[in-house]
Amino acid sequence: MPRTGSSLGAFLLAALLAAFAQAAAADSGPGPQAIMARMAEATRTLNYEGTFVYSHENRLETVRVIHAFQAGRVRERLIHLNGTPREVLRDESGVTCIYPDARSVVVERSPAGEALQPAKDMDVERLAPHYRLTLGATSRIAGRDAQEVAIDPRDGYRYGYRLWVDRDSGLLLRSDLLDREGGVLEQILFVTLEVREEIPDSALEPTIGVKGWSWFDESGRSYPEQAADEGWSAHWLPPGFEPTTRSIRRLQRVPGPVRYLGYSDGLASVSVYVQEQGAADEGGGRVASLGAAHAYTVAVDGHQVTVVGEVPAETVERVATSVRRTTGGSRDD
Amino acid sequence: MSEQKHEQLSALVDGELGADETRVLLNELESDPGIRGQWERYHLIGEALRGALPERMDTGLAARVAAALEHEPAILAPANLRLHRLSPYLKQAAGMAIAAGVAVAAVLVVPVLVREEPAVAPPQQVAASQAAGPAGIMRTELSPAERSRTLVDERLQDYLVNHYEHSAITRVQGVLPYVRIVGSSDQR
Repeated sequence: MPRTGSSLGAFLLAALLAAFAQAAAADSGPGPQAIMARMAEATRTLNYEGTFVYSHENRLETVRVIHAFQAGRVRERLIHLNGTPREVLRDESGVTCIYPDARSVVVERSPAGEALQPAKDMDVERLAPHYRLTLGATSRIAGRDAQEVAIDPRDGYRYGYRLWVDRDSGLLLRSDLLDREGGVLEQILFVTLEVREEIPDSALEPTIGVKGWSWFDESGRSYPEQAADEGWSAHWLPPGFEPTTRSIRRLQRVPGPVRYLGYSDGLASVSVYVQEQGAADEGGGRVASLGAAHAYTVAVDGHQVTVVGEVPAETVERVATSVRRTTGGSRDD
Repeated sequence: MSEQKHEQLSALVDGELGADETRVLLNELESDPGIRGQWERYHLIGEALRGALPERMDTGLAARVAAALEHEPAILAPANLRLHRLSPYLKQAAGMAIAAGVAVAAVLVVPVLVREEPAVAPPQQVAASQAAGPAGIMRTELSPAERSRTLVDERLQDYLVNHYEHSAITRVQGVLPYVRIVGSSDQR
């Protein structure tokens, strides 16, 4: 994988630990950066299962999460307990989404398993200009003592977070995503959470029967990295967003190869997809909400450009409308 | 715990509680172990009825159902039982041949499944009204426009999944951001 991808794509909150932990540890326990770093580590390396409520606008769902860390490998599973049943299974080979209502299974391969690697090479300096991190109060969530960490953006192009982290295990107990006025856009709230010695393999297998369903699995269909660089880029990004990964590959239910351009400020991420085939006018010029994540699709030069990110709608729209193909393969970043 | 609280919890579990009530109840869930325990039991029972419980939970389930029975005897004799709606679930439970605890659970869950609402119709009627209604979501009868929208939505779902594989937030929150992926019939 590209060197830029692993360093820039690496989530820098965990790295904040290294730089700030010593400074903060001087007086009153770990600072927000140290807590965040520990959370990233605990989320990855502990065995646990729990049930949480996910609320967003008029959506309210209860979801069970099971996470195993065995022999250095992560396996995780999300099971929606109410509403439309569906499961998400994730390990180093990729993500499998099971949609029983559509009787379909979608497998998204991630060859490098990059998202499951330990967060490292974090760039401490990078968050500070765009977010303010502070410690909040302590409270009880799911019967556990939780420490609140506030992450406030310094401009309106990204969202803020309130995280409540278990003081004992370091695991996330509650996460509020905030708009620029401080209103709660969505919330994840654990109601039960248990740390286990180990998680049996059977707990990580899907319970939904999938025989005879449609499988979407085009693993191995990827394209040389180089090809992805040809000529496409976003000409406007919020301050602090830098390119992470570029690639060109197939997605399961999207016709034709898709160019991927990733950008991140170290916390929020914006993904640009350029679809070469298919009707370029489908879903054009409108914002779609996927929970608190947004997507904006626009036709550019006969291609369909879609920008996805857990950022405000205006941000995805502005990024999407700035995407251009520059002839001659020159890049603009 | 009041009858009203039980009803609210049932509605919460079913995803049918209004936004304002939900907010209040979530706060209570957070602070009140009694309500939280009851909420969890409702869910566990619902999962048992759907046959969705992992095998390894059987023993724990029986113990928890037993404990629930001890503390909630009143639920066992709801005045508004409608057994014809319950029977398929009981059959399913028997068919699964899980612990006897599940059959007990089936009785326990009655207030969840058959809350007295005029709108609740037998399954056949529900299916018929859905097919006839303007908001019909039967996939076989999608108009071309609807089919196009479904394709677009599926495309966005796939983009979102791919986005999180590249996304910084999954480094800290693991699989949790994937909760934003919705089922096809939820898509707008």
